[in-house]
Amino acid sequence: MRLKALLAELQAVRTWAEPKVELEQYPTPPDIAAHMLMSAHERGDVEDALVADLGCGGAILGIAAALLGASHVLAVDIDAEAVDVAQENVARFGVPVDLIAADALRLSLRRRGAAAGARPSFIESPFPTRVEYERWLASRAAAVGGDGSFDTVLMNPPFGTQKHSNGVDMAFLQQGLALCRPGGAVYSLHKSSTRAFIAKKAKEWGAASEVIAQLRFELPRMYKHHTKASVEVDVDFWRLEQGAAPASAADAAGKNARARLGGEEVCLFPPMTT
Amino acid sequence: MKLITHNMLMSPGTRNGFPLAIEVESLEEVEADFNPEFIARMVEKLDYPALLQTVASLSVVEGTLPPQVPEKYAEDEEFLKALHHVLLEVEIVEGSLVCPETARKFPIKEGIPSML
Repeated sequence: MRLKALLAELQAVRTWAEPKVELEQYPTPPDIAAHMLMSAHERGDVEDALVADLGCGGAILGIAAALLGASHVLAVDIDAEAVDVAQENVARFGVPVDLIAADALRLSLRRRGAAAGARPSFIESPFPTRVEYERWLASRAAAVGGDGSFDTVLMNPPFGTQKHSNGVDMAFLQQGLALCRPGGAVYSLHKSSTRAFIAKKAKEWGAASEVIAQLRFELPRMYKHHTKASVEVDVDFWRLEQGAAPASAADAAGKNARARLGGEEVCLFPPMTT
Repeated sequence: MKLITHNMLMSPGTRNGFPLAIEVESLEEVEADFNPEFIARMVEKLDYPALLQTVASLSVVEGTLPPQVPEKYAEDEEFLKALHHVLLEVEIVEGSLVCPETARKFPIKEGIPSML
């Protein structure tokens, strides 16, 4: 399918009438969704892939992935109304998209590997001192798993720039990487003002990061706190690749510690509180 | 919800909340495109014993899966087709998911589990 054909299809994806301000809902416009998915497709991240769409809204990204040949898509949103709209859209397109009404950040998916969730106590650990053990725990907490099942994770997360939502954008990215298999990719949209910070965090998480494109996102006046009819923001279109970053000293230390623990898989994600 | 999703889903906030038991009120068998490469790659990602357990609990689904994954599964078309059917062609439409750790129930309505 070509870009034009995909865009024409995506024009039929419905969004919802009243976005919720507390969830920072901004529906992804069809042209941006089409560009995102064509880019992912060109990089071999869509066809025959297992795909997740986090904070899916009307599931336009997940539907676009399915139209381009993804084998199965799991789309998740915390807003039951958005999930209803997504369900209508999925039914209209007849695409293989499963929907779950859940907080994408608290979504619990089984890890690959049997010992998921296990974490050795200090006494069980090979560390001679408590300080070294604590340091190892901290390095594990900073790195991101990559023992999920998804080939590709798509998202247009809240920008996380309101007082109550501060940092939620980064939590989405981290969750996306955690759900990926090693070598899997996360595609996401973030305010360009956060570019340096995202690059730094991606490195800490052991992921390669790349800004594929910068977009102008026109946000129509949807909320009362918007004073102008519409406002344009610069948005980066990111691709993060799980486990592909050159290891920094801290990462290497974490890896050595892991090797000493006999490669035991440790759950890195305590449930997030939002 | 298809069983491919169910095989990944854990009860939120638990350590051992997998697999979720399924209480089925209605279930549909649908048709999906068969992609042997995708199914073969899924084999490595599945919890196969949990899948067998789930299929056994859904008496309506024809159980043609062998007790163990065949050694040369990637070339075993019969196996891949049976797995394809179970993973992608069985839709749980109405019912509940039940956490094996806490017994908490999550309703499934019109094919969508609610884990809010």
